[in-house]
Amino acid sequence: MDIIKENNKSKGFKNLISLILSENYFILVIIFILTLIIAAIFVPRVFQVMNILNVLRLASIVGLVAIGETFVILTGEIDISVGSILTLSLVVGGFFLKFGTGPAIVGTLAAGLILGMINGFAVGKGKLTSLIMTLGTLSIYAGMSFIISRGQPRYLYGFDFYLELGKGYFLGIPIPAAIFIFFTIICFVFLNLTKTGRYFYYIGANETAAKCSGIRIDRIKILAFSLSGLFASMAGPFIAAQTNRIGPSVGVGYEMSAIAIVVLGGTSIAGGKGHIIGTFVGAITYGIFLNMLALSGVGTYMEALLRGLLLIVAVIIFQNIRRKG
Amino acid sequence: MIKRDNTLNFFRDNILVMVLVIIFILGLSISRHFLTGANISSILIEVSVMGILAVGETVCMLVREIDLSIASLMAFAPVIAINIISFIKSRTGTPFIDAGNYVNSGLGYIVILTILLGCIVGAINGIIVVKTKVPSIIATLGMMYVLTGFAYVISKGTSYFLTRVPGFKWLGSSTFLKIPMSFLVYIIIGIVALLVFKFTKIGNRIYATGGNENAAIYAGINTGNWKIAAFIFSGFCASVAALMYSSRLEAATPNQGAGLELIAVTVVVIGGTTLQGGKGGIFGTIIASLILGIFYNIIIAVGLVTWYKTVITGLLVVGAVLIHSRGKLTKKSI
Repeated sequence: MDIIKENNKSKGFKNLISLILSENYFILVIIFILTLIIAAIFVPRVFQVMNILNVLRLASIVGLVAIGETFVILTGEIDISVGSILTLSLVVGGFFLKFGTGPAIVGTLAAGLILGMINGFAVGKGKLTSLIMTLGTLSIYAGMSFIISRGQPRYLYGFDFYLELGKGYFLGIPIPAAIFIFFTIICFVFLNLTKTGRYFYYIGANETAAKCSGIRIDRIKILAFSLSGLFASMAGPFIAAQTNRIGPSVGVGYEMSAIAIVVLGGTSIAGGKGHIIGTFVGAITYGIFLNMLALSGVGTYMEALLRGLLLIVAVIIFQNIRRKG
Repeated sequence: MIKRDNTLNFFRDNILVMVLVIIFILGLSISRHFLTGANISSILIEVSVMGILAVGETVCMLVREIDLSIASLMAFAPVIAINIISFIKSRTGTPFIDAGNYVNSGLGYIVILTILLGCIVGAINGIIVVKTKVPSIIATLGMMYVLTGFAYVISKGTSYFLTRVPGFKWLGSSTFLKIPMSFLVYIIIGIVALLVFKFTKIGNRIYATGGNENAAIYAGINTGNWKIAAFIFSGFCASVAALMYSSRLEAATPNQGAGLELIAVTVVVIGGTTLQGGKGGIFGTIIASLILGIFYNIIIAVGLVTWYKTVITGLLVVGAVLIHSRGKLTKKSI
């Protein structure tokens, strides 16, 4: 891959353009800048400092789910159970609240990891189609969270440290955003600079070839789904802290947003291509896009329509420019 | 053809029918009201909406695509159809929608336009997927948002009441030989599709497209067109489901059918079409829709809350995909 890039560099300006277009990364930046320009023209209120911080806070929460989803999509699979994992792990963590905030959060993360691992085992070892398997666990986990919480929310009054996660700041930026940036860097290093990280790309690009060259595909897939579960559960406490309660339906719809962000971030849904940085910028773009629509007053109905259009148009652009490039 | 020479294979091939029989006996033994006419017809009505969605979804999944926009199409098609007719009629001066959102006439127009819109949206899905190479899960996911948004924006979130349209409740409320009309329509469409798949070239081509697309292309099959056809059929089925639903409610609401796309996929997977391409079929889907319908009825009869319904639905999906993929592995090794 590096050789191809060097060849392209040596062939001058024309190839440089095609190289830029062939990297989804740059298209994403163009979309990001376009969103900013549209926001600046039509809804300049978006750029108030307080609003930007709020956008960052909300985008980071969905973004954390999207980071986990990126790992799964890079291996060519898909995980549509992340929203339910978020809910169920949060509810499970809620049972540890009587021991304090720390155990509750550890419990949440552990539950997320295990729930993701269950998906991973079924897909990696059991060779089940990931879409169908996670469709099943989407229902199972969502139902389970209602059953074990008996449909009742658990309020967080008195858990000041837990609540601080939702409204606090770390070095001037919201805590979720700080954690999101931190994990973006960690995952970027992991995916690009470690051997295991590169395996994700190899498996997504050509599973048979990866298998033939001795990569343990099942292990990497289990790892991918476990990470997906872990990151999904990481987003849960922030949502709970913001709404001041652990409800049994907080995560509904997060899987769709997460997949939209990953796709917007330029990760190929067929696997093997994409960046964590793309997911990061995608999350911010998505957040600003939604915030812009909310502030402009077009209404939730129009918002859903435009959100769908953004997704379709972005994917069409990515798919076709990449093929030509 | 696979040789079916031992009993194990016989059981494996007919597992769905046996599950249906078992679950029927279970229903009989659990509730003494199970076999009453009212209960059976309520099961059949529930089965017919999710079943017809699932028949369309089956064809999509046979060509290795998935259509997530069907449930939102159920709301989009009738709402937009009513608005288009209203727009045209307001030009000629005859009011179509009375005060209070009561639609007063135009049964034929509503039915034809709804079905037409279903096919058009299906075709758009198909063209996006085939011509621009966008994965169907993303394209139809986006389409889901677009259609729901459109239905809400155009209707401003309100329902249209169809109680004053003469004859509109025929499909949802009338019966033929005590069988609900909607179930009859579902079974007729299902059986016609089944026969077409069994006895014409269409079936072979659909299965070939899903089974091994490259081989199908080399064999001279225009796989792109068959994929678009599959999406159009899926859209058609969704619009028929929309008519059934609206006819039963005697209203068209912009949020009707929400969440049914996952139920439809569940039915298809239980029926043995598991996205592994070219495997499964409409017969399995029809049996699976009956299984799930009876199953939901039993859950309510036993008195379990809906939470258990979601969990058990998920367990059924995972169990079904386990059994079906296991079957595939053994057949390969034989």
